Amino acid sequence: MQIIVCVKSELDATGPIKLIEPVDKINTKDLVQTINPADHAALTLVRNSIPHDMGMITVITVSPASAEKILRICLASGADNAVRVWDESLKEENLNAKSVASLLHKAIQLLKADLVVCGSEGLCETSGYIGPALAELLDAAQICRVDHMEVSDDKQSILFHRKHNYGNREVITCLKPAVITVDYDAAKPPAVSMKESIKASKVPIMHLDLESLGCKEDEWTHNANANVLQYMPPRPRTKKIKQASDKPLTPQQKMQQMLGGGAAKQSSNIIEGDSKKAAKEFVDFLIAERILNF
Amino acid sequence: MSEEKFDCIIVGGGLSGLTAAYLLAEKGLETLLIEKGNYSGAKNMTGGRLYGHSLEKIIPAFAQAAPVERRIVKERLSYQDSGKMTTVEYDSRGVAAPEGESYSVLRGKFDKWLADQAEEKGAMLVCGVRVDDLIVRDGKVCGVIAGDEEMEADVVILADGANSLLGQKLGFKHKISTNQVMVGVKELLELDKDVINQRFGIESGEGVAWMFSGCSDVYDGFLYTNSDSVSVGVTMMVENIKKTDNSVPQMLEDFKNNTDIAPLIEGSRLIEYSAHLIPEGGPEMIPKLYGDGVLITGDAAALCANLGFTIRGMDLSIESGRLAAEAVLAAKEKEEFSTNALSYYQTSLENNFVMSCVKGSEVCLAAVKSGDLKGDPLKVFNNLIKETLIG
Repeated sequence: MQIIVCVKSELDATGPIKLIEPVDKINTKDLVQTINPADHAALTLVRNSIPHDMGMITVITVSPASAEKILRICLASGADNAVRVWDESLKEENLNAKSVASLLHKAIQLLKADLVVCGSEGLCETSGYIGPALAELLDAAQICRVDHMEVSDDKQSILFHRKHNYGNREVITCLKPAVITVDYDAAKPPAVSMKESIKASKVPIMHLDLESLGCKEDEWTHNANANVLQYMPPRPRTKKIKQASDKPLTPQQKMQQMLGGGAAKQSSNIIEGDSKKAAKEFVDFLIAERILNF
Repeated sequence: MSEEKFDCIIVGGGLSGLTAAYLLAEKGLETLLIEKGNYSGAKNMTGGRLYGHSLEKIIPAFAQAAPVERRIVKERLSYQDSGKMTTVEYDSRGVAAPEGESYSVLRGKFDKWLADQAEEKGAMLVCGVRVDDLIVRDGKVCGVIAGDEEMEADVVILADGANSLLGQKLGFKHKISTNQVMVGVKELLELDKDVINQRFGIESGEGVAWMFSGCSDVYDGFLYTNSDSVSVGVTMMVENIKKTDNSVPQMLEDFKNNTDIAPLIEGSRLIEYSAHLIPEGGPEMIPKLYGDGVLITGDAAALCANLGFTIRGMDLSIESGRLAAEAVLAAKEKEEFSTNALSYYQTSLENNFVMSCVKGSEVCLAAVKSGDLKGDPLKVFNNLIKETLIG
């Protein structure tokens, strides 16, 4: 069985993120590349479920050469082969999910696959587009958000498990080819061993450009189906109105309270200032509340 | 190379390890570098100023390509005493000699860049793996053990940092004591570029290295300007921490709230907090540097020099990595990796500025330990002038 796992190189955004002025783009230069967690979980789930003699796993990404590092981590994590799709004429900023799905579709047609596995969503855009789009383009069966898979007793088919509400589960099997998507928490990627890393560093990575895909420009330069118009960070909560215990609120204050964050509790005061001043204020509070007696 | 054996395995992806990996791979040796962090630089920390001369020898004009923050053009030394502060400034703008330059750096970025350079030369980097032990047969180091895996090599370079547990296991290095190491804690505070330029009187790309003494009986402070952040921290002998009831993080808070420091960092935002052990035992702390099939470099070899107001370690680490690589290359030519063959490393270190720098720091170190650098301002400046002008 030929299995293709689609992986995406993401940037580890756990560190401080800086914007490039004045265009407000994220400065990605200093961020570390990492595998999209859902893709890594997808690879792990497949490798843990399907023995080597039953299935050959190929990881594939649409990325420039810098992404070879993450392909090698995939190889060290259990993949047998790695393919990188890229062409000098491609530019990362011009690629949208639809273009990537088209390029992956071309590559998967070339490589032939019985099962295509994708992470259910990317770390950055979280659109969850690639899996369903590939199923459509490949005219393949699609099973979303698989959290467990197993080979049937007769070794003739694979059973896919999906979670439902209230602990219900669904076990599905389908005809080849199929596309499945996997959530980031479906499987925990293994700690990569030294020898596997060394072995992975020597595996040749296949490079497919547009010519080798037989791809014309109009076959990948799609306009996105949906465009993000605006990104809105969480709306700051209106400051809560503190109510003095001895005075009723005025109508204006009541209105403010209803429109705002509600009534503030006295116990949620924040002590500000340097540590000595804060410590004194804290002790005063404890004494005032009769928690401490002097 | 056989499937299971490398020419050289380097443990630790800091500056000395990466330098050795770069040079050995450049000469075609099968080199494996093992780093326990997820990438080189993930666990590395500095104050941080890098004197460029060591790396300049290996990668000429490296600062044009490397992610250095700012070229240091102003040195400031401040002595604080009871709310008073005297500052001496040395301005080196107009002096343009790459080998004489120093730069503020952030190790998370810088080491990652150097690791990429080493990989480009052909070194193999394996990250996220901790080396637990060494393979030793008949007294010869033959490789490394990570978990239940073993990997063999003709020679192993230990660049595993100030603690160097592997050096200790090998019996080359004693367990460190509290009077041999300093602890450094640092906050990286984000600040607008223009605000930095205005507050410190510098232009874009120019930086300030500022050392503070006398602000406490226990610690000294430092401040370096980065591209769009400042590194602010304190260093202290671990042994001296017991002199105060304050915790180390509280000491850093006190330093930041100091009336002379607070205005410099006003409006900044904390983006990183880090701490590090600094080997400060002077020449006495330097372990056995070579053995049968093994060399020790960088902080693991305690190659660090306390010059009173400033602590140098990164340039010494890079140089020790270079000399270790030279020793391995010389040994490889003869295909002999015995103690005798690798003794060239010790000889070249002795004849190099590294050892003279570490040995020269003894006077300053004694002053730091005795507290002379804190009691009498005249002593401070006397020591400074003596070290700077007389050596």
